[in-house]
Amino acid sequence: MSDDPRIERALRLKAAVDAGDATDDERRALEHDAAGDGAIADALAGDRAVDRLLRYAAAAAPAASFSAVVAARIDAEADAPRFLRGVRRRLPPRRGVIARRVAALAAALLVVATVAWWHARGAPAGFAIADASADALVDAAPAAIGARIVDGATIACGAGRLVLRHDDGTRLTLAAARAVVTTSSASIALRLEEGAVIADVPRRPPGADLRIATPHGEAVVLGTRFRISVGMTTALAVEEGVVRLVDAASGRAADVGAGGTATIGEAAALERLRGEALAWYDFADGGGAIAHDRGGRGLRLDLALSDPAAATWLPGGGLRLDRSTLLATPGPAPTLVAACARSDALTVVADVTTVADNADDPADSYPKRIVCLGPPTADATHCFSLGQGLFLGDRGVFDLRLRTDATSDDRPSIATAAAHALPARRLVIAAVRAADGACRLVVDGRTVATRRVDEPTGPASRRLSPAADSQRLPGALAAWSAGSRLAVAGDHGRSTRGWLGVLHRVALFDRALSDDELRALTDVER
Amino acid sequence: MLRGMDDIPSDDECAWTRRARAGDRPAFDELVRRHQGRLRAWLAVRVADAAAVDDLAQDAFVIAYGRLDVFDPTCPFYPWLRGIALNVLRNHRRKAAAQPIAEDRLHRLLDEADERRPDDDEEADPDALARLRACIERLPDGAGELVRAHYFRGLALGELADARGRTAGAMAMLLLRARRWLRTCLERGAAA
Repeated sequence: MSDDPRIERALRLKAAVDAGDATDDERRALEHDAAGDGAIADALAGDRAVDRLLRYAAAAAPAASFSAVVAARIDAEADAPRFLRGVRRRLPPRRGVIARRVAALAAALLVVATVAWWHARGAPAGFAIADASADALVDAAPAAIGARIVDGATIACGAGRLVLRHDDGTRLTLAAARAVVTTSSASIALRLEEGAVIADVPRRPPGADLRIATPHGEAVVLGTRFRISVGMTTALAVEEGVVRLVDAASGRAADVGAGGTATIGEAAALERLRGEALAWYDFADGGGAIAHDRGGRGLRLDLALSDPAAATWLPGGGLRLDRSTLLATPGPAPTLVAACARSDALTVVADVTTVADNADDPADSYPKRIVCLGPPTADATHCFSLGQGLFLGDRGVFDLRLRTDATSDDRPSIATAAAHALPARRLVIAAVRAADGACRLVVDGRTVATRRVDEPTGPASRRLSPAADSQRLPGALAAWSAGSRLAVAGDHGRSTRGWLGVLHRVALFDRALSDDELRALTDVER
Repeated sequence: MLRGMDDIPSDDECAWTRRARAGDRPAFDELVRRHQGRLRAWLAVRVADAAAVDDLAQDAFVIAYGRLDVFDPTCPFYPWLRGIALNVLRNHRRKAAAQPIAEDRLHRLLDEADERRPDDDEEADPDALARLRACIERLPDGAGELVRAHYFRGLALGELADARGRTAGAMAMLLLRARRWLRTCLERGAAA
């Protein structure tokens, strides 16, 4: 790195500090060197400058949701004090303090008088619309500021937001949400179907809870400030006070305090995805020679284990493959082929534990097949294969091969730029192909960098594209053979392509799953 | 009801700030959209915890919204916003000082050096960013991927180490070598 041993030593100490590995003595030594040696100080300053430039470049790209979150937070910040601030904002900048105080006092008196009048006329407590974006609807009609919310009203914010203020001071900011509001003299209930709510709730009397129900459970509020959002799961973040979160599936409840977060609905998310899977194997069969397909589409693509002695069913689910074998459908899977041909899209998810050395033969016979679909002959071209390792290449990468009507076989392919499979560990690898041809590989819920692998005249002519989050494999999936069979942990005709490790779950979908869905598949039971 | 914004020329920032100051929320939303990238980037080079960058930037915008009445609309918006962000950053550092990792004297000295130059935004030079991108493209294979994974996809040293079967210290050393290579590349580009 450097010809100067002093600088080399200083940079090694700096790396240890960055990694959190440095001892107190090493930190002191680095401080001493940086303070007393101009060359070392210059090297550290130069490193710092490049580090800053990299961090600047990475953060400079606009974040899509940032503006919406700022807008929602401003709404949530604004409560009674906002009214006074609003009065102040309308004053000329340097008008006298007395004028501001008079205006504020008048505004406060107006609030008190309005509330007193409201209670005097005996109106039931309820919500009114405090603010709304242009696309917000209440019972399918444009939201009007000041309008009261009737019991059972349906709210749809579109991509915008709606701010509700309750007579008791409760303020709910709904962002990109669909919800139903139910109020009575004693309680408030909100059914949140999707989107997010920022709630600011004054302390409530006993028995007058505010309840926010989601498809996955319920949050019971006693007086606090929190955010709750619904996607594949329900996520809660509490800023002040305590919120009780109840999981609808298990009935279990937990109190989440200030600064705490909690998520419910993982099981429901998993069940929803299973319901639309073309094939779904959780390897919970516990024994025998069949891995049953539990996909909700009812294709019944059970896999037969060619050598049961090579595999061990694990207690609680999972199938450990100690020697090369093959799990495959006994017959063709034409419905699966047709479904993918219709959508031109595909997601293959494999929750697996890799092994340190997946080679059980001396030949460099990679990629090892984790999941593949193709005719049952050795020389046939796959429709797709999700594998580990490249022939004459890195054995730790994951590789997606896909045949389309724009290719003569299942290449070019894409491979992860980093060796995610090694060392041995449990991970969820997903190969996603969208209808427009964009392909990506997702490891543990995070899109990883991939390279397109072109081999015009075989592996010796291999060319790798620059790494990127997505690579195009264009064409339609109509070229797939209807006689194709599904295989897991091996290849129909090539015994040397057997993959070793533990299979926890394999699932196939005829669409490109979203990041939210892939994260749900990763988080469940992990 | 939130109003439309079609009647303001897109390049007239003074009009946006005047409207925002008069309580026009869509105008303030436009200011957020315009300045969020630069402010987040400015914070990102000053905060060790990448996860805190967005929170601090949001705090700065929310505070700015509440103080629009003291903003002079004849002055540019971003320097004023950055001044608020600097105060937010100082508060964050005071809170973080209780954490052992921030007690590291070297980091603290470097942070203090930053605070002495609050008006620096030298990284905003578009030429420097373009040169950086070109140099990253020319990094040797493994180093380029490592830099992209750590800085642009937010993988921590520990995660990188787990994925590669190495130690966090080894990853830090590889990143340090990559930054040194980038520094040389940037200096050569500047000289050319």
